[in-house]
Amino acid sequence: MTSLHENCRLLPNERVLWVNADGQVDIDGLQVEYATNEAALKAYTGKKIAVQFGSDLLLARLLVMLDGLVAQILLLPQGVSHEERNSFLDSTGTEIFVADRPVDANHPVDEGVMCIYWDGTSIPKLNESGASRCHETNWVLATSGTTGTPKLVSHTLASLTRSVVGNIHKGANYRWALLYELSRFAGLQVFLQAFLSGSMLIFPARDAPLIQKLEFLSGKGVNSISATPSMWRQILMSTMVDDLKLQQITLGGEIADQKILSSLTARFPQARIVHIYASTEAGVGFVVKDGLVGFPASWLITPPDGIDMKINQDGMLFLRTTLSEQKYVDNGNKSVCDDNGFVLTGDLVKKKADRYIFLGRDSGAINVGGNKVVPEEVEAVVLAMDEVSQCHVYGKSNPFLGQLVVADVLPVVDINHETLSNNIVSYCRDRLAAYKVPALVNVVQDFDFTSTGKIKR
Amino acid sequence: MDVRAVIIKQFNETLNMTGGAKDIGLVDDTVLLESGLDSLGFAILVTRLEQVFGCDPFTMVETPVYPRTFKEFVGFYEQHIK
Repeated sequence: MTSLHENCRLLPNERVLWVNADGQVDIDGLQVEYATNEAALKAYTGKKIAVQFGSDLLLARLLVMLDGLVAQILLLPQGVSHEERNSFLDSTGTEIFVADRPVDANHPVDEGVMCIYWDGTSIPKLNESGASRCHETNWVLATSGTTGTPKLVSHTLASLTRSVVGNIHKGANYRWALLYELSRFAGLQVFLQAFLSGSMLIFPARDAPLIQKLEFLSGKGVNSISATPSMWRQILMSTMVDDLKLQQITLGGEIADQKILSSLTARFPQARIVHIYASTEAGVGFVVKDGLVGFPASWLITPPDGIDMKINQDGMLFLRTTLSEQKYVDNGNKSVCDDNGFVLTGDLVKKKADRYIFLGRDSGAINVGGNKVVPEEVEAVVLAMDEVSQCHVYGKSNPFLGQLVVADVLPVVDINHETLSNNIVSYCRDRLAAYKVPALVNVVQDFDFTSTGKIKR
Repeated sequence: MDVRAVIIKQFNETLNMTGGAKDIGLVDDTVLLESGLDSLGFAILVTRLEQVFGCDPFTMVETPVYPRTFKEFVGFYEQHIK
């Protein structure tokens, strides 16, 4: 597998790759940077590196220089605690920690780890020499940890780019937005798709509010956006949506319900809309391009290239990719897969006519007097209502039945709360079993999202 | 605050919400389990009352309480709602 910087040779020198508020980086710039730092970089050969950057564009430049050279890159998201960071550094055997800001003296890294601070100027020289060569870089990512503590999953560039379509000729027409953190699986996917196709990637300020990000992106001519359904609902509600001319809309990270797909189709009739099923563990599972929720039931028999799927009697989805090299790093390098190479996705599906629809995470189920309710199933029903913009369903403890179902909703427009609540309850009663109908509906002013753009559960 | 009146209002709204009979005319001797509210409805009622009163007496007491009649139910709330 060619390394990232070797891929630069396939692209025209003047092709602009990355744009942010400070300027832009083109292929020529990257190649010059590599050549200038080549001597210093040799010392890093075969080393195990960890990176944690506030600037995604700086991180991007470093990743291109290090891929194929270092033995391992551990990508640390901004949000990890100091304890988690040190634990991850330890379990991966990291030798060098590289960051764009000095480590907090009150929370140092462990003694055995060298700290390098890179501000984008010359790559710091090491006082030692590197290995003679490196075979292939191991990429280690943190999962978003929706089921307890985040885990580390190791990938290769091959497993990370399995579903990247690297058409350099077509790639010139795409201008992608980076709305995810680059150190997360989703962000890395957008980055690699753009990079290997020679498409422009626009980096809005990481901590800016969405509206500001959209203004910046629109100003740079964005035409392709990958985001979670929750982020898309916010985008549709923003005033910037009229200024966006999109040709490619990608959804991932959460269940794409029919309403968000239909709303996006209506708002951007020229755009190609796809939703992706992926996880940090499995990599990209599959891409659904027909504009409908879930996936065709026929895929169990004739799956898309490179994968196999099976569903057990509890509706749990298992996925096997042809590569299946991924491993949990901090669990004794245990494979992410079972004996037959299948990954337990933790996602529940249900057959509906000739498709399977996603019900939700098994781990998030609410128990109402012994009856299991998957929050996402109720959310999907409530979200289909015109008056509702966002919905979060969760369990509330109850002395009689253990838990009851509660829904927080964000209305599309100002509406009488009692009327809306009653409408939601009636609507759900017509479509769901009684124990799944929200016992309480709270109409809220805003919603909490995680750093990965998903509803905070 | 007329605790009894609040409970009657929430009771009927819950009955309505869960598809039970409307306004059954609760009296002191009405047996809760025969009032038209099933166990789910009852649990929902208690949760709605918690929203209205700001507390749930059933979780406040140490020993479990099982009021059988409407009078006992109201009495239990009147005892614990400040």
